[in-house]
Amino acid sequence: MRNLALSDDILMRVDKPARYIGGEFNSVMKDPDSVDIRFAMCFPDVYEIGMSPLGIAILYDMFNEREDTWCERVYSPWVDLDQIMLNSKIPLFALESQDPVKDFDFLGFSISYEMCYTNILQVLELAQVPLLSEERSNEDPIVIGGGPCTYNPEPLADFFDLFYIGEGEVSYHKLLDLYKASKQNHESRSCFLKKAAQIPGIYVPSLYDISYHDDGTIKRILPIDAEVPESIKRQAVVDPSDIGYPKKPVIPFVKAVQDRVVLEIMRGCIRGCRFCQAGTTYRPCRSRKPGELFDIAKRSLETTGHEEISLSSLSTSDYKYLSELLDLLLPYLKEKNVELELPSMRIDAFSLDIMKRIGGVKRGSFTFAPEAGTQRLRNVINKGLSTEEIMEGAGLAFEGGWNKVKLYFMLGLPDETDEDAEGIAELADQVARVYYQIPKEERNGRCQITVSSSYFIPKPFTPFQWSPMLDIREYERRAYLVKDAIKSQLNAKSIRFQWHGSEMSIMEAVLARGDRRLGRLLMLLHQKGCRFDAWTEHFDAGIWHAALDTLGIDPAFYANRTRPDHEIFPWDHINAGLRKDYLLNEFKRAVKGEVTPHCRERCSGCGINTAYHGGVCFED
Amino acid sequence: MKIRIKFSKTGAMRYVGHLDTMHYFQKAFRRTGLKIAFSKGFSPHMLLAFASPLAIGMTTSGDYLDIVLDEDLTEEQVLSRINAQLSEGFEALQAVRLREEAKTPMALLRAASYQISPACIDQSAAASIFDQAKRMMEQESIIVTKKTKKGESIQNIRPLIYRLEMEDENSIPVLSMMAASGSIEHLKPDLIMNALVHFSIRSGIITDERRYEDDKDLLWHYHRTDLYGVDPRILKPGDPLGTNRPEPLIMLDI
Repeated sequence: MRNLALSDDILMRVDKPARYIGGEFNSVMKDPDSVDIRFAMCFPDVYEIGMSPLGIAILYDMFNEREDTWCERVYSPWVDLDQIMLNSKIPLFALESQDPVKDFDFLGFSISYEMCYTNILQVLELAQVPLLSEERSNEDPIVIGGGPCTYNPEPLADFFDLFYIGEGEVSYHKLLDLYKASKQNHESRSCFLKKAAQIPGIYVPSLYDISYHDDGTIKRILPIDAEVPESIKRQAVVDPSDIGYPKKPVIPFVKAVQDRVVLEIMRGCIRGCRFCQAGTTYRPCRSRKPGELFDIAKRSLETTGHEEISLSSLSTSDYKYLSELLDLLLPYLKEKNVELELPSMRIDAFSLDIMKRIGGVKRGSFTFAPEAGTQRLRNVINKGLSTEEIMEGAGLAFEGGWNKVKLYFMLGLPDETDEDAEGIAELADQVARVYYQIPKEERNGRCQITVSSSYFIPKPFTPFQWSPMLDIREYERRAYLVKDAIKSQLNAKSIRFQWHGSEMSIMEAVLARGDRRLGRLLMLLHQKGCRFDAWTEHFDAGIWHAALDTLGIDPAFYANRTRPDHEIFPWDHINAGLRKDYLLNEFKRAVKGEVTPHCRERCSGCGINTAYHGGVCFED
Repeated sequence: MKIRIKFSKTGAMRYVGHLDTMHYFQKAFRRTGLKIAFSKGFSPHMLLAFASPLAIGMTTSGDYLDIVLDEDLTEEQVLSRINAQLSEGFEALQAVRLREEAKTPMALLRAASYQISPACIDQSAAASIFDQAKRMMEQESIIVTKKTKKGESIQNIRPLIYRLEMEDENSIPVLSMMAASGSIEHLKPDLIMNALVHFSIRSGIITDERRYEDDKDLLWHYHRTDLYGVDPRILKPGDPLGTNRPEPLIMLDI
């Protein structure tokens, strides 16, 4: 029987106490004395959110397969518990053993979105680990970060000993082996970190000096000596069949946001949409074979008992073997009464046919993501979805019995004008007209179109990393423009408009393209009690603005400034495999509205095919 | 094949809520690989029915679920298959095959039995409170006020308490309780404990009332020992249990 870290009277006082007890089915228990490395893996958000992503499940499995390592999980205690823990000096603990995380060898963070950075500091404080990397001693765990935000980890540089850039399957074994040897030889922390910097994909921020021009832009990013690599290359698994898949995902006690098996069918994307960071940083596009995926799906369903399975990729319609996979999967799922979810599909005859096969008689809604209201602007962002394709797809879907549509857009895209904003309303109306062209007897009720738009944030490693973010008042003005334009459409009654993002988006933009000096901001926000900033009910823009003011930081410098062509970016020493001049060229083409074909149509020489030797670049 | 399973939920599992417990069992049953029966129609679901929700913080060694399978197995086989899919704190204790027409455990439920022991209260204080149970039960009425949406309502809960007495021969004080449970009449055990505490205050056994009021949710540990039903074919009006002794649900195949 395990002893819980939190007493009964605390657990009875908090919401969803099952978040903190561990012992879930498939969670791994080991004898701590039988392992050399104890790894605490943290997703810095609440349990139900943190239990969902695939990344941690992959690493959890991978680490626990090593006999010398025990990997356990830790999540952010909710707002009704963290004060109690601080006041009672209860150290943050890992779920499986309920042992304090500060006694572990590693504390790893999976960093998926910028607004969770304050939670990272919350976790460090609750764990009783010094927040600043330079203040940690040999007794403290090595603090390492991985995940999408590590492509620009600079705002977090003060708080992390190491970052792992790229896909974890490649270099983690080398890192753990090095650590074990280092520990056995009683080497110092700084000695270990220096050696770790030699491992491909490992970035040790303390080994780089950043100098600035008077205007605040970066002058130089300099390794402190000749042994430290000048750049750190993103790690990618070239052949997906080389990577395992979580064999026994842990089943959460509290219903997770993703309460299903997630089957990763493809990594990367061929499309090259210019706003998309996932598309660039997961290149080259790599697919798994359908037979292998079917085996993984069966095994995952057998070991979890989930009732739903989702095929995950950035653009499922581009997965070449989708038909074959469904031929294998659908009869099995039907027999086992498991539902299939297929997000990220283009709407065309092929995918509608698939959706009919899966959906039975019920029709939900179908989704288009035009992202921009006019063809001109879609060409600027390289979203290869034409107006004809949208109308044709909508027509087929309506004839097939669907009558609910979701249309996703962004506002604040580069080169956007009022006409583009109004174009959103016109596009939605055109879709509605397609519906009402169907004879009344053949229609399936009223048409419901939901238009949703969010606030565009330029991200590192995309062609738009030079682009300014739209000023917030201008963004809000355009949102109202769309709203009014919809009201004046013929089919206004069939169209609903939702828009979101404002202050929180600005802060996300500041952190996304921020530099090391933002470490002070995060520290101050933490001291002011900020956490769960990704949650609208907990994010307080007033505190953030006051903190920026106190430190003399102008958010517009990071968010709203147009970068000159040759500016050194805070993430320039990270090599994602794409050439910076390729991205700059794409930015110039964007401004001219020139479309770049996707990877299967023609190679555009982004640099990935020399950086990695696999994937779509080498397909016949 | 319809099967009724008696299960326990103990240790840290007391913190898993009822809905989450149901999902836990749904996934566990799928993992057994047994042929589970699903409802027909647009959203097929597992034919899995639970007897009664258990509040967070309570443990049980006598809760029930019914499940319908599309294959025939022995009771021992089903028991071992499901136990292989349960983690520490959940255990399937007994399995009984039911007739096809058997009623759901929720429909049959009439009473629940509990053992209450001290949690955040010292044992001698607990023992003196438990000691008052006999005297409280001698009263014809025990009035509690319940907060409802419309304000407050007053209820005499005495007729719904079927047994309340301190158990002998225990190293720690244990109060044994049996009360109405189910869709017809339902009395939550913490309401009975609050009434007992108030009774003890009025009898002068407890003097620092405020402390008991503030901590009232944390004073006791509740362990449900079994659930009971009555054969509805032999019920008389106005006599939900009276002359008919309720049977543990595992015995009721009706």
